[in-house]
Amino acid sequence: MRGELEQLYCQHRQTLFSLALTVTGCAGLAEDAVHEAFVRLCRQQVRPEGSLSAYVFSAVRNAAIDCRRKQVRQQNLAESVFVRTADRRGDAANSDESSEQLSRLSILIDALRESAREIIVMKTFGNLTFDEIGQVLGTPGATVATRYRRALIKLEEQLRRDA
Amino acid sequence: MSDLESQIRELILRAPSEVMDQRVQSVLMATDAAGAVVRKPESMPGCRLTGSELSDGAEPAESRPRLRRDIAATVVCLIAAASLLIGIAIGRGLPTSTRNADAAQAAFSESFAVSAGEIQPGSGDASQIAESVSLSLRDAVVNWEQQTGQIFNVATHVHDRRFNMCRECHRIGG
Repeated sequence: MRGELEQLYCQHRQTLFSLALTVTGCAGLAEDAVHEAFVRLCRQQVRPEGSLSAYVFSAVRNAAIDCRRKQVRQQNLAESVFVRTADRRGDAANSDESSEQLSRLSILIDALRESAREIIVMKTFGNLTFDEIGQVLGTPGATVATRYRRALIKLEEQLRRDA
Repeated sequence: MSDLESQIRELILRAPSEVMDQRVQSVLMATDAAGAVVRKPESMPGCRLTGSELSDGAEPAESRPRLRRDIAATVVCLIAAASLLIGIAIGRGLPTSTRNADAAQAAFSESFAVSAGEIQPGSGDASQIAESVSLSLRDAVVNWEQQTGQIFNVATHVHDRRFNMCRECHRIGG
């Protein structure tokens, strides 16, 4: 199981971190959550049934929720899970229309509800199926699919409105 | 996949720091090392036989406690057998007076039964008397008088044919 965990971490490390960041809103806490999740996973002797990816994502999410509960919220923790366009392309590229749209899109996603953001991160960047995401969130796969579609519709409407 | 989904995929996720990678990798490595210890206990120095033990044909260390248990059980069995034999010997060496008393009692009962059978065959008196004698002579007399309605004559009972048992008693006891 350790080999599988290592492989999963190498494959999904960024997505796992993003999921934790979505929950905690703080990069430091998100890293702590990922680390804590793997500590818990490595303690287990038996491989869980079903999708191991979903299990690992679920462990990271639970650890992130625990970290968020322990954190005393003296400041607003709402760090974005995305790299802003300005951060990665520099000021010279800010005039690019597509990059502006991407920047707007990332802001809109950050403004979504937490559950919707989790689903988008796991679906789009983790390539998890709706059933696997449902396993992580503890909801049916059909419900996850519905929430995902609603989130996309909401994003499209807001992008159209901004345009 | 819609255009929006494609656009979302173009977004770049924030990357975790190298510190997180190092922490997680250390956890995974530690687990791997622990798993190796669990899977291969013979690789631990304490569980490995030394060369001298192997060349001498010594048993593995784990069988030594079992050998000690076997020896202890054998010693306990030997002690128990010896105790049994000593008890039998002591029993056979007891004073013979007790055995003589038992033999006398048996002879008395046998003679008494024979003599009682000679008194009045078929009347049942002898057996009744024999039973009553086991209590006491006085009780036997009282019992006989109550059952037969006759009076027991102390002066002549030894010569009475009905009381051959009394003659036997007097012959033995004087």
